[in-house]
Amino acid sequence: MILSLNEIEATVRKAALGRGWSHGLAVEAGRGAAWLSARGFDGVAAACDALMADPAKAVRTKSAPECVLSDAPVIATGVAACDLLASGATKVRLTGTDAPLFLYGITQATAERYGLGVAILIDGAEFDPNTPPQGPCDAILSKGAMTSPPPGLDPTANAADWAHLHTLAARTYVAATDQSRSGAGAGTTDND
Amino acid sequence: MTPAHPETPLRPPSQVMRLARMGAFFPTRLSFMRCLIRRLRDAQAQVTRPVWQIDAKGHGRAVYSMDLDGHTYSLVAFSQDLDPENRTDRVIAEAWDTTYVLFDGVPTSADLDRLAQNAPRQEAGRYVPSELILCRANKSVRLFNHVVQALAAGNQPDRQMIGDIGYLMRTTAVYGNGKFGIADRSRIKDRPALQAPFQAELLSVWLVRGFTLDLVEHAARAQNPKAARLDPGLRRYLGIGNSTGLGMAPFLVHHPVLLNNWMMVRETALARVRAVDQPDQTQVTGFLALLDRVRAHVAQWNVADETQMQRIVTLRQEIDQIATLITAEWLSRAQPWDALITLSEAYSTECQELLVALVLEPYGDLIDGLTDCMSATAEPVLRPEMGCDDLIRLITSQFDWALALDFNDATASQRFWYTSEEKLEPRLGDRYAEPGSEKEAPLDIARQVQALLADLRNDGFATVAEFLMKQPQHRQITARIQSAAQYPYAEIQDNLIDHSIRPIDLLRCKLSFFGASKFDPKSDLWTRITLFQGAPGFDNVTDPDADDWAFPVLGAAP
Repeated sequence: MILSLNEIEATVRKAALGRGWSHGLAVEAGRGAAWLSARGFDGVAAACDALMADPAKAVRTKSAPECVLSDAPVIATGVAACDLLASGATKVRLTGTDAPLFLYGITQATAERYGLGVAILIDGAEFDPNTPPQGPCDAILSKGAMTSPPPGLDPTANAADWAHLHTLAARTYVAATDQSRSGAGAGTTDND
Repeated sequence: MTPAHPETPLRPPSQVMRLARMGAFFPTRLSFMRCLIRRLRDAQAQVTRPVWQIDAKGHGRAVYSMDLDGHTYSLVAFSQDLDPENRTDRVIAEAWDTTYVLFDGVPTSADLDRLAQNAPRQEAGRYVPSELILCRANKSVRLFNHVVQALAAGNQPDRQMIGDIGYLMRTTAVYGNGKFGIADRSRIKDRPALQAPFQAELLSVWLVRGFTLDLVEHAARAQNPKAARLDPGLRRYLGIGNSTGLGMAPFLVHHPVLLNNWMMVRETALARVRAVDQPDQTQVTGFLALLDRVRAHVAQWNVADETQMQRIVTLRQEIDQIATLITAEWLSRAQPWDALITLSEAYSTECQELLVALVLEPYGDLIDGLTDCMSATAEPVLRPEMGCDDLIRLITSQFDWALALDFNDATASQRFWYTSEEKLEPRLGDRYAEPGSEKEAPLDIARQVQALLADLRNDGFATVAEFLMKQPQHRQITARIQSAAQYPYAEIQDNLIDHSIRPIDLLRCKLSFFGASKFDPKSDLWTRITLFQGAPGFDNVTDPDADDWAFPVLGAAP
């Protein structure tokens, strides 16, 4: 199905909130998914993959001799790595990276907002988003440039993935009550 | 930086960014509807009607097209029979009298057939990026039917009824920016004609207004081929109604940079006008004429809401006093507009803000260019390299209004904002009486500021990057606070979850920037308004005086 980027960004954000991510990281996740989708990658599927991780899993850090973020979901580590690079770190190693394509999207989207280029190495080679590795891997992020396709229009998504995001997003909704409806709008009919 | 024009000091955010004041705003010449009409005038925009397949009952489809700055835009309109039982302005409605799409280009027959299957279903339909805007409108049944009957009988409709209602149809939702598959804002953001905020949405509403006028005359002619045409003055007075509720309220909180830009432009415009040393004769005459017009406009502004009606009554008295006091001689002093704004501080907030709108009006050459600065392409960007000590200093120096609130008082956090399961719309609940507060939307800006400060003081991290790695829940509020120096008008300096919060204040502020008038609150949670009342229509938008439609008065030339 064809989607708008705004739909993707908003739905991934809500799904991340529904999965238990904090608001700020949910916003970054939405931007990461839209960034991927705008460039012809399946940002919705990548987001579904990344959202499976446990948002309560804390980022473990080591700062010497190199900066290492360990065994936490890419939504947290990808954003944190960009923050650290923007704060003066020259290189950040992520171990146990669970969703490499989404790491690419969320880091590029976050870094763009900082006016920063971030390069990703996986096992010593530049990350290729067209052939992302399967399963956990180690990544090294550093200031630098990656070759990314330009943004286009008309992103698409798999209907099952899209439905999954909506299921997660629905966890953030609150059922209406008589009290919440009271005074909130016109009557059930408006024939005046 | 030296301003491009002389300015008095801007009114400070602590004065302007308060709900009680924002809830008293009036439309100004900077409002987005005014921008649109000026754009249409300057482009000498011509509206054509290539499709009119409307039957004798007023049902069918129509297309209106116009060229604007190298692009063609078409309003595709569908009109259908609607069971009165299903006619509701609530967003929970599932059927409407009329539904619309603003199409990017000229739709083919296949496009029209596809849209006919989707537009009448609104949110339940699916759209593609050639559709820019999706909206719908319901009839004001009593006025629409009355106008049809009157015209069919060869008469004009009752002026009192026109004045009391003011529109033939009310829009109940206008969707843009990617909703339900329609085009993302990015598709049109670089088009000069649509760069100002909400121009595509308002262009749609203006075209809908034209359609409602055509439809009512068509329905009259279907009854009597010799039916009267609607009087041009009445035609111009009729706007488009709108019901706006909580769905719009969080917008200003979710878009702090945009809010800053709107406010900054408005306050800068006011500061420029206040700095005018001596107005010329045309400006004095124009202002005094507008003062007379606004007295008549306010005299025709009647609402059922007791609180708002009392404010209007007070406003009428105050504006009468001011009209007696302010003469051409009074305005001959140095910086008379500054003197008038200063003088107005003795009057109600409604009166103060009405005078802001009035003094801006004669100064298009001085301030209209500022509207180019009202869009925003960015939201606050985090500065992870900032030291936590600096962030603490920023909070304590810039957010005193938030730190002064006492959240130990349960009533200070009595309300909570959430998204309704029913229609995925923002709602406002009572934390102590309703379920769902664990799913609260983050509109509690002041409370978040306090929580951030407490954690910053407890944790002792060196940089924001390190702090947020451990405390990611503060990410959004940190970025907002860090941008405060750059965007001083970004924050509403009130507690948005207080027991006394009136969402209607948020709505009026936003709607005034749209250019809406005749605010008609139906509760603290929703309001009716009128859009494009008094604005030129298809046949006179190219006139040189097309921009002169502020504060329209029934029975007077605009």
